[in-house]
Amino acid sequence: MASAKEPNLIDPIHQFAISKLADIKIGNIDISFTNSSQFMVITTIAIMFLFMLGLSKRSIIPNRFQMICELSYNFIANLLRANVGEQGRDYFPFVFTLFMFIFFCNLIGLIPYTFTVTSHIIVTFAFAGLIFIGVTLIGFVKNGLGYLRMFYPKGVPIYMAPIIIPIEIISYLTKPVSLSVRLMANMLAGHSIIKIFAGFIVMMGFFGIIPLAGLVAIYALEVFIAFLQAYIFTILTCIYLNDALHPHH
Amino acid sequence: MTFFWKIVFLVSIILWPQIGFTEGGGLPQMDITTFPSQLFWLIITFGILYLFMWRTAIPKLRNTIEERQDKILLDINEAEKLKSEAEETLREYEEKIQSASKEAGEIINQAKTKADEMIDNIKKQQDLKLSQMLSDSKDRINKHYEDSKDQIENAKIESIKLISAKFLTESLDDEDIRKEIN
Repeated sequence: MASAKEPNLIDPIHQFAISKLADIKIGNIDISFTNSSQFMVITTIAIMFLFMLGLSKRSIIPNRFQMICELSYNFIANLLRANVGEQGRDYFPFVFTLFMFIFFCNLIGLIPYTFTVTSHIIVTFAFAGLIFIGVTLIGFVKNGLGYLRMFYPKGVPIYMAPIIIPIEIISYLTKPVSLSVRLMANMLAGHSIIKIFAGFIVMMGFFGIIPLAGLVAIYALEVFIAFLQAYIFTILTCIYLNDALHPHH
Repeated sequence: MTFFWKIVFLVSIILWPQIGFTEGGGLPQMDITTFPSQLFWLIITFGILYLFMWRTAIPKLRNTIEERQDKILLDINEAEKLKSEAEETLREYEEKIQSASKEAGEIINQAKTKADEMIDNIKKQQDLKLSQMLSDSKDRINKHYEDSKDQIENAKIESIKLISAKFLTESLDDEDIRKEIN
């Protein structure tokens, strides 16, 4: 929003600002209910509402809400089966919830005057860190110390080990960073562009119709990206999970 | 998505004087004082959603999909059973039709032979009647013929007697005349 004092000022970053709605503190830690928390709650309620609606009348021939639930279920189930195999079944609830949560956060964030939860690095990094720690634990539990062999690929000559092993370790450690930054950056960039284009429309007056056309196109692209980034986040989770379950590939 | 970064970068440079930042400057994403709150509420909301999905939604969805597959399999089996039954019925029906047409042919043949027999009988009877009538008529004709022959002979004899009575003195005997004529 351009502020009232300076009408020509475009502030594409303002939409990411966090404002407190209710002050809550535990000891010294500030856990206030903010607009971010508000949209996390809205996202959760929206997903739960959709699934309650879709699963209220479970029929052989599904209605459209049931169809949405079943399509998303089958989509993630197939994704998990293709990338991890039958062992991935145990992790399905997490992967499914992850996809639905990120996808709905991205989508809800596209509605004007809303807040995009996934545009904050701490949120995406929390997911990525959780996945990273979880996948590492699963790797060690399923493979024991043999999981460490992953850092020294087969067929690499021994004199290459001092170079290869640090590179492998670094690439392993950067996984959560790239995973979280990718999602957050996409949301940040997309929403900033939408805001900037919207500002152009106001600034250019009548000729604002030109950036308006661009805005419509970019908005459509952003809807696609909202899905795509949720999909990428999920499929990478599946791939990391597969690496942990079957490290000798 | 580097495309987006390029555009953001370009637009930011062009509009630099016009773009203002929120009070305090910098990205709100980098304000670490908001991190505990975000993490806390993320854990709560995502946790609730995870529990809901894990305990309620996913088992229900799985059941629904499995039930549908079971139902489809069941229906396919049922349909196959019905199909084989229908085929059986069709075969029986065809067999019945075949036997019925065979029977009908037999009946027709029997009727034909019967009719032929009847026709033959009637013909024979008619022939018999005709020949009888013929022989009857022949007999009658013969009888008439014999009768008239006698009458003619008698008339001949009578007339000869009358004529001879005129020419002869002694009268002729009937027997003698008969001998003479024959």
